Amino acid sequence: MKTTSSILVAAALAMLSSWATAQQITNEQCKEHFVEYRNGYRTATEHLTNAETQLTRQQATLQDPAATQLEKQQALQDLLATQTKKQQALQDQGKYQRLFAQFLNLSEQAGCMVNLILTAYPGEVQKALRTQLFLGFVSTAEKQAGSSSSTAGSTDLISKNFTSRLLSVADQYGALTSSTSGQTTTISGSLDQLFTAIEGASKGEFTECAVKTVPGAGCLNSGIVSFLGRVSYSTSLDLSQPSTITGTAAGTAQGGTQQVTGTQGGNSFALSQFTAKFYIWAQTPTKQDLANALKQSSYDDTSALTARNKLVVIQTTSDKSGAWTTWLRDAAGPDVAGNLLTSSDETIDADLAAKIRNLIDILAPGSSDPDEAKAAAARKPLIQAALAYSGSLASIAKDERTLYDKAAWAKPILTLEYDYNTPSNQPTNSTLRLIWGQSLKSWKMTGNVAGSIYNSIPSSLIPGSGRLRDIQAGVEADHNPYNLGSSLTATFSAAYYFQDQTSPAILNVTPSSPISGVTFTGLSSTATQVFTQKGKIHVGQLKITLGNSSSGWKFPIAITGSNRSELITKSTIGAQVGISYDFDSLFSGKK
Amino acid sequence: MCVLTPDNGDMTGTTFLASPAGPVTLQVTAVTGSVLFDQTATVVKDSTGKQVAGTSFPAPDTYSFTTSAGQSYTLETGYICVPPNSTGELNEAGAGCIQLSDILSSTLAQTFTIKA
Repeated sequence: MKTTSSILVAAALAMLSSWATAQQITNEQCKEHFVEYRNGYRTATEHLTNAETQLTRQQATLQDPAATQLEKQQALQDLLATQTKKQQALQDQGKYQRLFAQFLNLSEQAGCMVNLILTAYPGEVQKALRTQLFLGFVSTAEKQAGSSSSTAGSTDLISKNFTSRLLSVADQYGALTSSTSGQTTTISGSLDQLFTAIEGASKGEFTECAVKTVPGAGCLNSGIVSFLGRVSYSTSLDLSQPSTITGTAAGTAQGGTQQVTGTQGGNSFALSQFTAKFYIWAQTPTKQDLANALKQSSYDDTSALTARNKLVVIQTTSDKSGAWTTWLRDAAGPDVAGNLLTSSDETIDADLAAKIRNLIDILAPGSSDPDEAKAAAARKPLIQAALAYSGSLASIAKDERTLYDKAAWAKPILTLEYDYNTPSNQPTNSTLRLIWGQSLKSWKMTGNVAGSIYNSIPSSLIPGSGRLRDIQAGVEADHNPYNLGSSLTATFSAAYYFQDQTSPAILNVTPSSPISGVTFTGLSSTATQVFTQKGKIHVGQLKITLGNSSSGWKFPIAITGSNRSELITKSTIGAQVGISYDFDSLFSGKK
Repeated sequence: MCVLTPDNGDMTGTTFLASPAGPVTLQVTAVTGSVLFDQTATVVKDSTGKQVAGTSFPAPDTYSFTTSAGQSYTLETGYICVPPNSTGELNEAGAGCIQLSDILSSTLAQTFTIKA
């Protein structure tokens, strides 16, 4: 027992010792693999040594005239097994040596090598980064200055009343989506969008930890980013809220006229609805799902590949004299004194730092110039190329996460939704909804069940009223677009919705200030709330949407029928037509 | 059947010998998450720099090409890690076949030499 404990303690210490090495590799994946290659090579070498020792002993037994026939047979069996082990150990040695050499090669593991290069001169890296970020900020500021002024139907937050610069910038970078319909502005997004927006613009200064290659940069664990991606929100702000103007008399009356100074009061906008969604479960997308999502996406890693190729060219150029190959042999060759593959854990940090400085001197000739200014100038192109790669990695990570989300959303998914509703002239209510979505061949199915409660207990004077306002269920089937030729598409959908109005719908009224669009006759002058009949509501809809995939217009036609609505207890049937145009299509493909 | 072996004379660990010459199939094996070939960045070129004909992606994680005896090829591979923290290995497809490289989230692309 004591022996077992000692072995465990020794193994734990050995592991700690291994993890304590290569401190200058700040990317966790790179560090993990660097340590794995060194430990793997070490273990393979031990196995090889053991196998050779065993082979010597087994061969001796075979040649021993004193050994019995049985002992020789056993030795022969053992020898064959040991030869297999030796072969395996040799293969493992070769594998780890190969992978270790690749690790130190900019054309194979560009991210890890960039991480090491940038760690060597942190001051110069920070200076270069500050410049990059400043230029990025200037570019952003210019974009903001160019935003259009407030106009009805504008989709830019900056032109509306709540002039939040943060929201505006967030909108520009894609941290949230804003849209305006009439007087209602809706802001929506998922929580990870804020992160990915910063990531895309940060030039590698803030990214997912897996692709963090700039030492000292901020990063967020990929698991946390995935979790944030499960939460989405949508909030609608009603911008048509009445604001009051108060006029204060200024000066004296001149006959029938008098000057006043006006001041504006009241809210210029109000929360109309807030929705939060949390997806509880989603099927993991397959590789084919991901490939399909990739085909439909605008994923483009050209700039990242260009940044990587620039680094490869720097390395290839430095190797014209064979300098880089010599460096690699010194760094990764297990038989070369001071190599990084077999050097001890105690010296690996210092050895690695020295070797990386040597490498930088080879990749950026003149970087060891005694004149520090000249040396820094010599290193600058290399550091800038490395930073460009880091920045492009962050940008690619953002696109890869978007791609993954897109593929995940195409799979069966179960979502929990919370709605906070503040309908005009009605008591506020909250709805909790479970949403199931699934694709079945050419159909996309969506199912809902929900319960809605009043946020405050309705007046006991309203007969049959209760906290539970209603329960809802609905199902919708959408067929994938039919191609009718010449970019013309048709999409069919059918939906059924059921609502059990368990508590009467309530309207807040002020007899002296009637609700717009609603006329009451015979209403008591003291009434402050009116209510309608409870009951079950059935609504069905058939819809066809004609569209043009190239020009961006859509023409939906729907027929909707219901036995009643919340306020009106008579059945209705009606047709709705609409037209929409996506102005973005004017500019698509013209970037 | 495995056809690739490492060229032990190559210090960089990026050269592999294809024997016998003929079809070679590479596969990305995900260790965590999913790693796919970036099909626009994955290509095999002959010694003149010309793209080899008859290459294919039988699956999003598989790439096939054919070698001719005596020829040397440059294999450029690009990867897409989804989600971004995904990692994997580039292997020759088939049980017990060689591992060409590790793919990390920060790898993006790699270059190899295949000698038939």
